Amino acid sequence: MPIWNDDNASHLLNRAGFGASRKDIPKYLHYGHAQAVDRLVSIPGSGAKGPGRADDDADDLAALRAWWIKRMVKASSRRLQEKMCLFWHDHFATGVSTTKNNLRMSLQNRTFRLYGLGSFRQLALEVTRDAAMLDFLDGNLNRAGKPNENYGRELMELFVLGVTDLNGAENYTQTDVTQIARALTGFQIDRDTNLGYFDPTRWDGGSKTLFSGKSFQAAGALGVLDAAQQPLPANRNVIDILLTHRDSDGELTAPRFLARKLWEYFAYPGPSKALVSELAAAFIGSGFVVSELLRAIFLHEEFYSERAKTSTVKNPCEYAFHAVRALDVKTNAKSLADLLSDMGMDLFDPPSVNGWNNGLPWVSSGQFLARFEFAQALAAGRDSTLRFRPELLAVPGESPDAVVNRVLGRLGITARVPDGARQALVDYLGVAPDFSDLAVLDTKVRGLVMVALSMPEMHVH
Amino acid sequence: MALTRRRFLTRSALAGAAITAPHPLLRAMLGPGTAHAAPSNPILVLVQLEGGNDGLNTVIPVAGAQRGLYETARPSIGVPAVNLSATLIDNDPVTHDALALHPAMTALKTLYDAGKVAVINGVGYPNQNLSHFRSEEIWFGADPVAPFGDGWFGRYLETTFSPSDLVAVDVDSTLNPIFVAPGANTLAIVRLSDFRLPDDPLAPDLAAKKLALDTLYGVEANPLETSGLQRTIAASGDLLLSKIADYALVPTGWSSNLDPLGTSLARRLKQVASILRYDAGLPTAPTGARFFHVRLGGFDTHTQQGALTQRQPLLLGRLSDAIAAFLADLAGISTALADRTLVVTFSEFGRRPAENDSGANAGTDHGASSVLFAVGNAVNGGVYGRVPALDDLDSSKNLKFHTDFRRVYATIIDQWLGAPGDHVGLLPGAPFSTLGFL
Repeated sequence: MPIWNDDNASHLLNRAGFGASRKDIPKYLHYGHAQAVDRLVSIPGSGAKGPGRADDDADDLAALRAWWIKRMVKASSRRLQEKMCLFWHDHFATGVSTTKNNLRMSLQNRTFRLYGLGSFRQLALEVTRDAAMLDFLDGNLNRAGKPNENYGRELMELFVLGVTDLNGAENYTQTDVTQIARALTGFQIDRDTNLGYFDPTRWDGGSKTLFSGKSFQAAGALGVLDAAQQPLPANRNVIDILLTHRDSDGELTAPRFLARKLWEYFAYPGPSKALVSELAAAFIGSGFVVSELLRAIFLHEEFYSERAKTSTVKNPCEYAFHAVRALDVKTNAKSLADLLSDMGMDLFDPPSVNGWNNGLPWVSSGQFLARFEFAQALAAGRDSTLRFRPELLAVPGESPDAVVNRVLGRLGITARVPDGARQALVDYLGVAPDFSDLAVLDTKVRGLVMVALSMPEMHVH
Repeated sequence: MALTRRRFLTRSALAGAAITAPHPLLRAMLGPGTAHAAPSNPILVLVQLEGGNDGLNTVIPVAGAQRGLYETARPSIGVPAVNLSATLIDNDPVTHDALALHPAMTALKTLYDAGKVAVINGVGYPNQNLSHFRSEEIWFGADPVAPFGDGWFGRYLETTFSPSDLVAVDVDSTLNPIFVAPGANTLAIVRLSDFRLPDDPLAPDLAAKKLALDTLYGVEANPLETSGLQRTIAASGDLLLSKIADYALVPTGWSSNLDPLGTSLARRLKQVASILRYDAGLPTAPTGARFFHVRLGGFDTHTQQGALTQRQPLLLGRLSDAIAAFLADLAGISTALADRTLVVTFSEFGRRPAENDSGANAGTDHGASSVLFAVGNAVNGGVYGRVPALDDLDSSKNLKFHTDFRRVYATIIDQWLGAPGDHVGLLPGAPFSTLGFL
């Protein structure tokens, strides 16, 4: 077990949420490691839902975005739940610019909040009948005699299995795509409720064969739901059948696929096969419960390694919300969606069904400059959209060194800043600044925060 | 030595074919043009059609047996022959039957008639994957086998330029993998007007903040000071800070043929034209950018693809109009600039010949080979290769490719970028024979 110290508690709160405020770290230190993790993962599903009507009104969408951002920025006990909403939005990526329906996006967001920490089987089933997803990947047009392969392919490729397994073997063939497309026929969207449902008259009830020739081959009248909207038995239910798919070395595919993806999201890219298999075993042992996979990740010694603390580029939400929390910035979240958009993250509108390009693309030049813009907007925050108070960071009579050290400490990057870079911040404050002078606070302390938030260290965790 | 011999053999094969084969077959095999020297400081604009562009409704059989098969496969989204008379191009080099561009592409047709458009049919790769994302990686990396590592153009940059030469710009908010390689640096710019350092309007202090940022990024870019991802970010940020001043001076308010189009592709190509215009006007060419990637999304037409209206016709019209306006802009700036510029389109795959539904909902699922365009004054215009046969589909009922996509890349590298050779190291599986469209 890792030593339960400031650094590790801060790392856990950065990854399992959106960064720690000053009060968070002592609280989670006090819990101890196991209980701290338990408090983060053991959160029941929430039915909280943002605003939005069944059209693509831009003001409604802005309100929906602000509603979710506010939850992410302020979440305390539910911080991991909101982080997982973001993860699943990236995983089951669906875009409002295609669906043109804010209500359906809001309902999908609630689905992630309700089921995102629970059974993955349930979550996959809910997403399969989710109205926004049915619209986004044409599931509502997929019907007997007129199969549409769009959702079936992505269900296997992006949502449950991956193109290839951990050994590089192909997980499915084009024949499997055509077969699963037929099995997924029959879903429709109720235009009054904006909910998806199964219409058996549109379902292809004929026999299909999935994974032909494999030990886990499944054949018969495959589908997902019955006329009463209840899941078909496991031997005919394609969601269950996908969960029985095995890698070429005989291990279950989906648990490894998800364990790897979650590890890469929360720790670092390229985990070893042994680590992935170990996490997958915990997931299988729990009956595919997502929170138990996350518990295994957050309790793992490797999660607290130097590599896990320095090898991932923060996505724009992680970068921005960490800064807001660490510097006690007050916000009504209304301006944050646009700032996130400039940094490359349009909430409710990821670039494709593959979600966002996580990693170094986040800091390619245009988006990197947008992070400077965010840093400036936060540092210059003087109203309810963003309110940052420089007097909280500089006490009259203090030295520039003391102020710089306080800012770096709050941001949690002290140990990673080289002396020369720290000196550039001290020099920026000038010789003997008077922190009782409001002009100095307004120009130099705000300016210092803009520069500090723009440092390379701020983008890595 | 090996390189020279391969080129000799290629040319011998060409010469032999010229003697023994009838003209259309020669065109089918080798294309209509003869190669000429690459320009100095060539400019390349790669236009990516995201989602898998349906080649069969982009370059359409107008007559003959393939036309009959086309109409059978596409009762709803098939473009009626009567709508194709204004966009006819040369006949299919193998079937000799008439072909036409989609009627939305009248601007491209005008360029075609001027001999500036190469239509390269049947482009693809072995064992088409049919996944958008894997197939994009294959096109980006020029490698249909290995997991994605580097972009092929990133490898070209890495072997040709120093990391501080920022010669490539992705007109996007995020950097496309095509430009990514360990020793390659590329800028991603959506709007030149945003390419600047911000300041606090109520308490301005820009010069001091810039000095602090320049200093600390300089320190952290030093491998003795930082490591890993932190240093990677510091190094690219350091380079970026050094280029901001150059790009801040690029004017964007000039009157461009792209302005009236109002599409995102037109806006993005306007950024490219602005950079090229600025550099062309100054002997030092301050930005030095010559290689660009722009993206046009929306080609994943599983539904509502449309024959004459709806999704794909709209996109093809936008593509055609924007390319034509862009080239008109460059010609208006200087003939020399237009002569140095090549535009090449690509898409991760084509689409299935058979439509998947009927009426307005009809669309097409993921396919295999597709068509791409190379456009510019230096292009040897014409039709390269046949439209893949509709009566000889692969096991997924998709069009078979006959031209490996890496032959297109090899042609660009060899004939346009002026880097002849076997391209081992740039193109996995090399050598590939060139196509003659340049």
